[in-house]
Parts: sequence; structure tokens; C-alpha cells
Amino acid sequence: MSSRCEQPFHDTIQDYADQLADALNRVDRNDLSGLAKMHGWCEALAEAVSSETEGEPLRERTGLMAGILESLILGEVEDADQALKQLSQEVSALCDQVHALTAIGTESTSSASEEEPTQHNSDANPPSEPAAVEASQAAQPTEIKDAAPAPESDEPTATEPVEPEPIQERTLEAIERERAAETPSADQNIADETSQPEQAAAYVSEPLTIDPEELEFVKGFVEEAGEHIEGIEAAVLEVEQATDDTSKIDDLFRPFHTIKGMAGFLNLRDVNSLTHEAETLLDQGRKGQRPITTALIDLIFQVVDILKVQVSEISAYLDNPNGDTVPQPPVSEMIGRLRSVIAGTETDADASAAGAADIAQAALVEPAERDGATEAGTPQSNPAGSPVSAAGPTAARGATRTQSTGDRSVRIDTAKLDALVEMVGELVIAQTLVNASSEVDSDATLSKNVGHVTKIVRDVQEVAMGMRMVPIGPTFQKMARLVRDVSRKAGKRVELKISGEDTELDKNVIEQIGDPLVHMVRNAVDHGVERPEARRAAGKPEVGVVHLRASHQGGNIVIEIEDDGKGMDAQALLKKAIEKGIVQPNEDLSEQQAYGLIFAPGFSMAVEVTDISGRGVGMDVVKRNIDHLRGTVDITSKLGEGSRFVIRLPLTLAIIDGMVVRVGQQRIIIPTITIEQSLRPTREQITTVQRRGEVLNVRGKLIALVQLGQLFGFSGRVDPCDTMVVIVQCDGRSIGLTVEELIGQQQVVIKSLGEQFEKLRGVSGAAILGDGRVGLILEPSGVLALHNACATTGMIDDPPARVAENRLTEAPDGVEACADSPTDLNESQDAVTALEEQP
Amino acid sequence: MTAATDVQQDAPRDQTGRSPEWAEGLAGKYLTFLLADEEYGVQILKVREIIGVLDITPVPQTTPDVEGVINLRGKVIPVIDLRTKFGLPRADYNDQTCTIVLDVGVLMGIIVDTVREVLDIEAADIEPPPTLGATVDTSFIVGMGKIKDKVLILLDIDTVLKAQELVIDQLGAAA
Repeated sequence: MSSRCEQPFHDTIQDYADQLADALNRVDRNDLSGLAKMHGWCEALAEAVSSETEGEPLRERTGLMAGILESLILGEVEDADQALKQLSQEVSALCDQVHALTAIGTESTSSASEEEPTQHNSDANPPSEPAAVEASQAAQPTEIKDAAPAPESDEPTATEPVEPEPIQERTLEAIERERAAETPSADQNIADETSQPEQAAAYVSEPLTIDPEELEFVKGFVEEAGEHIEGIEAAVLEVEQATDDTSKIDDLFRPFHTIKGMAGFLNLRDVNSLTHEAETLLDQGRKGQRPITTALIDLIFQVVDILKVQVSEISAYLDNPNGDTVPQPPVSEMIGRLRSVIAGTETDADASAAGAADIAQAALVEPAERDGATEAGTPQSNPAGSPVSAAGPTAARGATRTQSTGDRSVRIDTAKLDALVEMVGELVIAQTLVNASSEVDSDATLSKNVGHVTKIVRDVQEVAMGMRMVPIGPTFQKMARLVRDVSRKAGKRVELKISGEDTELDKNVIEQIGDPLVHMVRNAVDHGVERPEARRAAGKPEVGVVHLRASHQGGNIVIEIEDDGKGMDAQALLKKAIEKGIVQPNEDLSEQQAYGLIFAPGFSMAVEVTDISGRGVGMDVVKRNIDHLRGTVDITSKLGEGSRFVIRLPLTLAIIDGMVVRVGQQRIIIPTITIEQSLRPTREQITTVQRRGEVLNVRGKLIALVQLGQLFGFSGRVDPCDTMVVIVQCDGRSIGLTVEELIGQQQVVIKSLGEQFEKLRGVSGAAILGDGRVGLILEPSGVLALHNACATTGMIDDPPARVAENRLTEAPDGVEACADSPTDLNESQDAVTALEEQP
Repeated sequence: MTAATDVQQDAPRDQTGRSPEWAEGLAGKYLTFLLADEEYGVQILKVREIIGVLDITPVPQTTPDVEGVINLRGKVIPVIDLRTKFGLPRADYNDQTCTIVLDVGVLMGIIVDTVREVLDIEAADIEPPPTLGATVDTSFIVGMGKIKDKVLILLDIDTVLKAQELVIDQLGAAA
């Protein structure tokens, strides 16, 4: 701090101005300590200024700012946001004034300065004052340079500074570097200095090395930068829809400004310089000096794309900090282009077109993943593609916010959170065991205490689960850019609408649902929404709408993707499926089942394969991902009007609500989300087919019966009329599972069976039940697939097979039949299906 | 001991042409157990714990040697019946039967007739696996250990447990 007294006047005021600008980005109306700090700087600035005559115009402003800050701190303002806005404008103007002073008035030295040549002292005041006034109206340092020489009689002195200036700047730089640790804003000056002589040299990138001592800071930078980038992309959508709203442009400006500051602090030159130009451009925008055009937005996106690569390269280096230089994407061209646009020597349209051409050539960045197959259009795409999309999730995986409000949040390593949730899961199991033991019931005091513990454990469980909940908003907002890009490429006009952004999901679920959502949104734009001409002809508005909705319904998360496009043609789907051999020619499917065909591997309705989609690779992966999350997808569609996909997901991956049933000697848990109903059928409701398959008639609906015990090898065939049948839903159809006993509904902690069981169908995991034994968790989709693949052996009239004892001495008939004779399969299934379709 | 060393000096290379260094890598402590009157050994470093036979939950679509899964203090791990794995006739479980929990990257259990002891086997006492003709699969035998007139079959437990898939893929393609 004491060094400030020795600093030249300009440095001081520049410092304060920068600090104020920076702090303004960070504070909000409730951040009293931040506001107080700003107030302190205002006062210090006022003091510094009052001792210099050239600081006269600044004095009034600092006084005004101090006043606003005081009222904010004391809570005397009615509309705090308005006050903050005004403050921000004042700070902005202040910075401009300071810029003006330091830029032209470099030869005007204060008496405090020891280094400057003093011969211009007396001339300092006249040129600086009117120039300062002009400067406060103008925005750019460059314009100041132009303005200064123009009307002034003291022209010679104003234009003289070229020589002494560089000397001063260089010493300033040296001093700034030393104080780099104190104020991040100091290094913004470096960027300012390098960009100011813009008429001269183009930006030249230097090799980037990261000091081992700075690794931690750079790690923090990568994480924060990732978040800011997400914020930028989200903000762009808002800006495009309200180009006059300065607060929205502010939302776009601020992240760039923050990234610039951090990059400057860490000597990440390229990042610093790039974001500086972007920030300047947006600053013009928010001051109303530059209209926000589509081309400008395109430029911003291009900058973001480069930024993403920069960040991901740095992130990759952090994974293996071996002292090599960090690879950097080329930025000189973009920086040059941005500078031209800022100076007005190039239009944003030209610049963005040039940038787009560059990108097409170099394939610098791929915004979203492709379907995995090689693309004809962009041969070198993938290597750059994967790190970019990895930068986002990697940054997000490193830490997570515990609260979404952002006001008071703590960054926590997700590994710690996961460990906590796992332990809570164990706690729940242990507590269930204690609860179940007989001693508890007999002793009243013990019973009471255990009950108390149970309640507390349940509360802890709820809180722990809640900690991993994250709002889906950011995921949805990322789609905005996807829609923009894809609709552009496909020549369509599509608007993305979002609702339910506050809906919270388990962090793991959000990570895994991202990909399926991307695929489905892309499909909606590419295949769903028609081209503008077609829409016009159909009497629809030219701009199609894709609507993303999220909500909580009955313990599940429901995500809807709806479009008002051309809908799906069930007949055409069926035809295509038969063509591809996915469906047998004589098979007749319900509408729902026909729509479900799009999830079949290799299925595609595209007449031509665009480079966006059409290879038939995406949707089956989507289905698999959703199955993996134990979710369901329902499709409704109306030809000519649009389609709607409804994804239902359990609230959390760790715990499942299920019905525990006994099959043979084993317990199986059927996820409640899939259960339609359970019943004990009467003899009349059962129809046998070819004496092998069985069909259940429930209020007119025919449902195939699956002998679960036999299928899993836990028992022989059971008579459904002696037992229970649980009807579950999967893939749009219902199947009935025979179980010997319904034990009860409970929540269980899911234990993964491990990689070795990955190929297992019909079972998605295991759970530890109250008595410590393991129960398998059912996965209906797989059960159906298994059932279709295996013929049920033995006629129905055969005596029941030997029921398996606790230890099987040999695999029962059912399993062997599956492995040995897959020939028999479809007959019984066909017959059953035929029966089902009967009116 | 001298006899053994003499043998070593006389025939520095064994029948398969392997050098004594190969045996060095295998020397160490082994947990021995019985399986159908044959005695086997596994490297003690891979043994996590030894427990009795717990309640096993069978898992469908698995190979016959996979008995199922058990609850090991909150973790669900698969358990293999070693007799079945080696093609030996199955036997009923009694109070001698044990489950050895091993760490081969993942935790897995093997069911054996009885667990014996921990023996320190030196390189000099290890011989390469015998060639028993094409009918006997000896891919998971790393060597034969000789201790006090007994012959131990030293197992490559990683190969035993991880060489084959546990799940029989009923559906072929899209699993």
C-alpha cells in the first residue's frame, strides 16, 4: 500500500478505477463488505483526485459514487437494483475519464511523480480538461487519441507524447508485474497497453508455459472459466431476443471481463487478449454505440469456441503438468478481426463471415457431438471436437455448488459428496437391519429409541440426497446454441422454448441425460420441424417451436421435448422397419409401438443422410441411456402437427422405490415406477396359446404372461391363478410377471453388480434387504427381451418342474432351453401378439 | 535342500526351457486350500478375507460356475464355485466349506472345500506347470509348488476369475 504514494498520479487513479470496476462485477446489494470496500476506494480516490487540479472532473463523480454506496450500505435506498445500475454507469464513466487522463495526459505529470520529464507540467491542465470532457463522452482510448489533437490549441503538446509514453508504459508494466499478486486489475493494464498501439503491430501469440506454483490457481481458473462460458452461451439467447436490453448485454459482458481479469492475473496472454477484445466489443454494445446484430453474436460465438479450446488445452495440461508448453489455438486472426470491428474498419458481418470460413477450414471446434460416424463435411473435426465437449463436463465434474441460489454457496469436491451419499446409504441399510430385529419390538424403551434413530436417519438421507440435486436450467440453456446451429445448418427456422428450469435432478442423472437430450433436440430440429416453405404451405407459422419442459410428477422427474413439426407417420415407420428386417412382415404394431421403432438400432427414416443425423445411430443409444437411468420414454405424435417425447426418470440414482416380491426362494425388487398393477387372476382371465404361452385378459386388454421364476431359473412354472401377477410397463407395452408372493413396498439402496454383469439383461442391480440378503432389481425391458428370446419349455399340462432348492445342482430346464434351442422363439410370441391385436 | 540345489546346478533350465528367474517371481506366501482332495495355492497378497458360506443370491443368465452374489458388509460381490469352474463334480456345502474373498481388480469370492494354511514357498520349490495333454486346461496354473512331500497347484487367480465372462449373452447382438 505504501508504494502507492510513490506512484505517479495516473497509476493511482487507474488502479482505483480498475478496482472499482472489478468490485462492481462481484458485489450485489447484500454484499455489505464489498460495498464498504468500494466506498473506501471512492474516498481514497476522491482524496487522490482533490490534490490534483486535473482530477477536478473526477471529484464530482467520485463524490456521487461515494454517496450512492453510502445509501446502499445503510439500506436507505428504495430500489437497490436501480442504485446499483446507476453506480455501474458512474463507474463506467469514471473509468473512461481515467482512461482519457492517463492516455493523453501522459506528459502531464503530477508533482508526486519522480520519473516523468517535467517540462510539460504547466501545459498539462488545458489540454487534459477539455479532452477529458470529450473523452468521458467517447468510449474508446483510440477515439480519445483522435479527439485530443482536434480542437485544442495545445495540439503540439498533446501529440508529443509518443516518445516518452512507451518509457512510462514499460516502467508501469514492470511495476504492475511486481504487484501482480495484489490486484488482478493491474494486469488488465497489460492487455490495455498491448492493444492500444493497435494501428501498429498485430497480436502475436507467445508460447504458454504454466508455472508449477500456479497450478492450483490455474485449476480454479479452468473451473470458473468453464462456468462463465456456460453463462455466456446462456446469456446470448436472451440478448438475441432483446437486443436493446442493456442489462442482458451486461450479462454477456461481465463473464468476458471476469475471465480476462483472471487470465491476466495468471499470465495467460492469449486468453487475456482475446477476452479483452470481446469485452471491448460488448462494452460498445452495452453503451449503445454498437447495435447487437446476428453477425455480432456470431462473432461472440466464434470467440467462445476459441476460448473453449484454450481452456480445454489448459485443462488437459493440468492433467499432466510436465513442464511442456501448452498448445494454443491460433488467435491472432480473430483478435485482429475483432480490433478492426471495434475500430469500425470492418463490419461485423464481414468479420463473422471470415471467421466462419476459417472455422470451416480448420475445423477448430465442434459445438456438440456428432453421431459418432465419420462426417463427410469436416474431415479433421473429431480431435478438436472431443476435448471441447470434454471441457464442459470436466470443469463441472471437478466441483459442484451445494445451493443453486449462488448467494451463499460452497464448492465441494464431488468425490466427497459421493462418499457421503454412499455412507448414508449404508446407514439406511444398517438402520433397517436394526429395525427388523425382534428385540426391538419386545422392549418399549428400545423401540422408542430405535424409532427416534430411524426418523433422524431418514432426515439425514433426505438432506444428503438433496445435496446432489442440481437444477436442469443450465442443461436446457445449452440446447439454445444447439438449436441455433442445427437449425441454421438445416435451413430451418426454429425457436427453443424452455420451462421448468428450476426443476432439480440428481447431479449424476443430469450428466447422463445431457446426451439423450441433445440427440432428441437435434432430431426435433432436423427431422421434426419442416422447412419454412413447407410450413407456410401447411398454414403454420414459419418459425417452428421446440419446447423443453421439466417437472416433478409423483416422485419422478418428467422431461418433455415437444415440437410442432410434421409429426411421425406410424404406417411409414412400420413399413421402413419391415424393409430393414427389424419387424416381421406380418407383425402388426400399435401406434405407440410403431413410434417406439425409432429406438431400434440402425433404424432411420432419413431419406438422405445429412451430416447432422440420419445414420440411425443416435436414438438407440438414447434409449439405452434412458434405460440405464431406469427411466421410460413415451411418444405421442400427430401427423402434420408435431411430436412429443416424454422422459420419466427416478429422482435419484442411488435409491429406488420398489415392490419386493418373492420368486422361488429369492426376492426380486420391481421398481414402482414401472408397475401398473398387481392382481391374482381368475382362471377365466388366462388363455393359453399353443399350450405354451399364456395370456392374461385384464379388462379387455391382453397381456403376455411371463413366468419370471422360470425365466430366471429360480423356480419352475407356476400357476398364475395360485399366485400373483404383477403387470409392468416397458417399451410401450405391458407384460405380466408371475410372482409367488408380494412382500411389500420399500425403498432400497441400489448396489451395482459391477462391470462383470454389464451384459446382464432383466436385472439392473442389486439391493440389500432388511435381513441382509441380496435381492435383484428387475429391469422390465430386459425381461421382455429375454422372454422373447427364450421359448418357455414344457407344455402347460406337464407336471410342474422340480422347484429349485437353495442350491441348484444343475441349471433348470428354462435356462438350458434358452441357451440351446433358440429356434422355437417367435412362434409363441407371434401367436400371443396376434391375440393381443384382436379387436 | 542340498539335493534341490544340486538339481538346480545340474539342470539350470527346466523342461520348458525357462530360467530360474521365472520362479523368483512366483515365490512368496500362498494360502492353500483343498478342492476335491487336491491342494491349491493362491498368492496371499490377493486374499482379502476368508469367510464361511453366506446366503447366496443366484443371478440368472450366468455361467454354471457363478453361484450368485453375496452381501459382504454392504458390498455385493459375485461368488464362484471353484469345483464347477474346474469341471469337478459338485459337492454339498458343509461347515468346512469356505468362501475366499479375493481382490483381482474387483472383489470376487471362490468357494472351496476347506482352507488349509499359509505357506512360504521358495523359488527353488516351484516348477513349471506340467503338460497333461490337450484334454486338461492348465491355463490358470502358474506352477507347481513342492512342500513337505506335497504338491501344490499354484493358481493364477486373475486368469481363473477374469478370463471368462460371467454372463451368458442370451440375446446375441444388442445386449
